Amino acid sequence: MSETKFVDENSLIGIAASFWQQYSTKTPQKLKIMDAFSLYCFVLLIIQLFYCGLVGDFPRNSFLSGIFASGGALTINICLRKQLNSETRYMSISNERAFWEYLAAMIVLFLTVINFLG
Amino acid sequence: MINFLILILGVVLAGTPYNQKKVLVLSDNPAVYVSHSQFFNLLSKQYRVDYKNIQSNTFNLQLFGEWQYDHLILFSSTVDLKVSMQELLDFYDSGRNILLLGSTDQSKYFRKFLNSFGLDMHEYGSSVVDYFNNIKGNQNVVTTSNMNIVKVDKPIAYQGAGLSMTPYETFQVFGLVRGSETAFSGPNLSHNIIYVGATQGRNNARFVATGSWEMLSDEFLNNSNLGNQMLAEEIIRWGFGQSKILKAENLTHRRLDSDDIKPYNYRLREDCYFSIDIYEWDYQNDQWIPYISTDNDVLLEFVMLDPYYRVPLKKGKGPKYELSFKIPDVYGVFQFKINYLKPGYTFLKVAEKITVRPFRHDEYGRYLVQALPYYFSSFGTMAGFIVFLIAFLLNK
Repeated sequence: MSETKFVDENSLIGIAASFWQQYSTKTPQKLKIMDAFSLYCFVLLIIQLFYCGLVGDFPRNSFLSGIFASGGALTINICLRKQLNSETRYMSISNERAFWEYLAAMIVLFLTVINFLG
Repeated sequence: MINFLILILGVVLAGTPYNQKKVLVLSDNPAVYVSHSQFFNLLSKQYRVDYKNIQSNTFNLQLFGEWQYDHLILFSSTVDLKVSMQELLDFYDSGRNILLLGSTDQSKYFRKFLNSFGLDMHEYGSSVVDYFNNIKGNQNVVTTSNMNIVKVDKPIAYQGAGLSMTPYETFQVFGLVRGSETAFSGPNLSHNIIYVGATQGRNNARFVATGSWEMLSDEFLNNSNLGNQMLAEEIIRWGFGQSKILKAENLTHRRLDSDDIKPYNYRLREDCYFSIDIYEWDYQNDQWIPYISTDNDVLLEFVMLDPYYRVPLKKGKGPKYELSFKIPDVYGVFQFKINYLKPGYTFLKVAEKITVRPFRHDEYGRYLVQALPYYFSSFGTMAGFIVFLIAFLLNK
């Protein structure tokens, strides 16, 4: 018996609803946590860009380090997520090694950010 | 012992004629030695004067590459000089002063000589005529009170040809004594006549020329109603480098809040303090006294290809002229420049190079309220990362 469909599957809202349903059922918990962190970094990035658009980027160094922190964390997170998936991983590196590289990258990022924060 | 004797000898002879500067007086007509005896008396008090005939061979301006005289007085004549004009110009280029006393019938040689200094003499045979400002109704002997730089308080008398120059005064060529408004010089009427003109070269050598050597003759100097006596003294003083001589020294610059003079480099937007001492030579007391500029016109330029500042220096204590200002928001190699070109005074040109560096990356403002979102986001990212790590690793 097919499920009753309350929305039309080919419209935009339908695509978003079916994506959300598939995502919340199919992805494992760990990836969801990772995605939550990525979303958090992305939201921070958008907020900073919005603020810069309002006020301008006066303390240029602080602006750069703030953007770099959130944007860089986002990028590194996405890289780790790519590594953990066997179809999209870069070389055949084990999951643990990927995680250690992720940690190292984040530490370097945060050191740079703190140094440049001024 | 020998050194001591030499020292004593030097001290004794310092004020005597052996130390004075030498003036060469060239003239064609020996009658000037009689008619200008007072003028030569004035000269002899301070200089060693050599009188030579223009045509004679017994003098050398230059002997084996060394100039034999320090100043030169030329009485112009109808014949050319034995000395070439190039040698006279070299004499001027070496920093030595020349005084040229002309007459209405001087030869082309002297007219061309005048031209090389930016002055020009009126036509051959013409003389200045004034029907209103003259002596005893003789319209050829004119008087004027129109003076600049050499100022005397009585009118002076003048009889001879007039000089002219460009209608405006430059910082190098100016008229010391100008004719009164009612004077003219034929055949073409020209107002704005110069009686005594002067040129100061960039090497601060002075050239004074006048179209009338009678102006300094005894007949006018002895007349107590006229200022010719004082004018003669002033011309000797100014023309031979005794009055209105400036000297600038002791240039210092430092950061406003520290005491090290001339630091290695400055930073953008720092406060800087600049000071310089300017002296003027006081001929009466033979010493340098602090220069007092009349209308605040010693300008300091802060230049890197274009002047970023051009501000007058404030008068400090004594000879000091100082200024504190904020270095502009540009980095590079700047120069402090002072280009003081006041007519009548020696030219002061001073330049000092400094470097201005940009901010080091830890010299930017810290803990600015404006940058709070960026601080929050950086630390927020780190906090989120730690939370993520905990959740990720502890999750089954």
